[in-house]
Amino acid sequence: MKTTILGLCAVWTAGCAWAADPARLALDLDAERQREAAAIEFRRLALADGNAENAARWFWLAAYEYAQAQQWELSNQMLDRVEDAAPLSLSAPVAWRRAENAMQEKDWTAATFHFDSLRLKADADEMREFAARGSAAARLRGKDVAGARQALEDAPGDLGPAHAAIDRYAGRRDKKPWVGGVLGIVPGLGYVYSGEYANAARSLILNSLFIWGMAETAEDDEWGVFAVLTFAEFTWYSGSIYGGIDSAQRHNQRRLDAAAGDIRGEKKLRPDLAQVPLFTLKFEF
Amino acid sequence: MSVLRAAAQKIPGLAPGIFFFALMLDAAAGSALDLAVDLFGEGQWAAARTESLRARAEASGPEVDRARLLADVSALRMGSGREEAKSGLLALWRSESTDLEIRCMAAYEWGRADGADGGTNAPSALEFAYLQTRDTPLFWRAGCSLYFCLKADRKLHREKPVVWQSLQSCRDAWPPEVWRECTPSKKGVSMAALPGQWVVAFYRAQIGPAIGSRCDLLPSCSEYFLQASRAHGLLGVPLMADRFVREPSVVSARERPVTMPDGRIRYADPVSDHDFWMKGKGK
Repeated sequence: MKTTILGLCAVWTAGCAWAADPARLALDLDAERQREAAAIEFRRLALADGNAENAARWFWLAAYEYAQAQQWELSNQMLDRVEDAAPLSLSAPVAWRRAENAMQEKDWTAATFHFDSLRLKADADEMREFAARGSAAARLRGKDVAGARQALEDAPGDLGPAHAAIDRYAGRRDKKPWVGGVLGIVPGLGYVYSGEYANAARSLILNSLFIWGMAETAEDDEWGVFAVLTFAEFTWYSGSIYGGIDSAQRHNQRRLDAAAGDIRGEKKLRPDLAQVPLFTLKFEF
Repeated sequence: MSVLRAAAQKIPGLAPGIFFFALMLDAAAGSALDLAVDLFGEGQWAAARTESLRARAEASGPEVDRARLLADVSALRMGSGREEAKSGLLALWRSESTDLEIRCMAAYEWGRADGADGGTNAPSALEFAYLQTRDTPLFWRAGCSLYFCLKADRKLHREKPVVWQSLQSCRDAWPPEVWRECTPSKKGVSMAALPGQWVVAFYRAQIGPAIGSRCDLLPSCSEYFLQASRAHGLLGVPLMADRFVREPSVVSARERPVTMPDGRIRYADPVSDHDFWMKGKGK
């Protein structure tokens, strides 16, 4: 009897805890990095919540989880639902998430717009600085160097390193992919143009070996082997030309990534989920 | 049979969610199926199926049949548990106690699935949906599907002159998007991608099992070549050669490690990192 009563008490307590914290499952899934499952749980809570503002918060959390799962389109759809449920209630978090999603989707114009919008909506200097940095990075990625400089003007905080990153980027030139391709006609030279010396050496060795093999087999009238080696050499040779172009593109991309990373700095924004559906955005280093 | 199979191949695909939104609109607000319907509309089949099954356990009355329908159609889209899903849809279609619109939807989906499997009953299921539904989008699509079915099978066409005549007179009313959805698609592997596929198939069947998994990059080199040839045809060859040359550098850089399910670490090097600059790829 005593055991039964204790058991019932335990079940009741667990039931109460569940009722008091309906987001437990979603938060546990978030902690286990099961982002899509957590997003679905947040959506379930949003649909079940009669309070429009809370529903909007649940939807925002679902958008955040989808973004963590790299599902940018679904994340944007959830942000649409945030705005449908309670327009204007979460304007700054929505602008931030839309801006980050646009950055991931390489839509620099949209990212710039949403970061600028976040800067206008932000109520703290730290957030305004973050938004200005984001806007500058998005503009730089869109190849608008002057716009990137302009985005940092009048922004609060220490933006010296961000200005320096833009100056460094603007002070050097991009590698020209067509030059890399032309140089790639000489096996390995395309890679050298972009500073990839190890790749250049491998390309040169492989091409030399196969060309030597072709010459030897032709000399010995072994036309079957010659045909096989010619096909393989065609592969390596076309790879050298393509590699010349692609390595220049990679070089430019790395340069841009480094500059954009320096502009944005070390600060990362994260929601504090301790009191969901209420949440605050906090900076992390 | 071959004629039927040819006809079956022409049964159109269905844009996800189109009907279900219409069908579910009359469901009570706050329905347990809302989330499942949303997930279905987003093409998240597995999640939609799970939610439908959950809603089915909690629902009562006609909502149970809606949940069954959604769960089975999601399973069909997922491609897993196909036979079970088909028998579920067949049971819904044949059940006279079920709401007529749900029966029509089940008949339509079952007809498509049966047709794709080379079955012989697809036209009768589509005909049921076409003649019985009061839902306009379903009426159009079931009609259009049936039209292609009958058009490909002269015998069937002669057996159903009234239906054929009705389809002929209705076809002008079908909107362009219905035609687009229902026109037999000729999606396949492009000719330029075929050599790449053969090479990879040969490697995977004859060489891979002998030498084992040796690639330290993700996707593996054979998968990379497959993806590159699908995306760019013969340009996949230089992409692959470039990757062979780069592989040691990528591994030694140890950027973007990915832990595989077997605990092995590989380094991410997707095709998208090397074709982002091609026309139409980057923004």
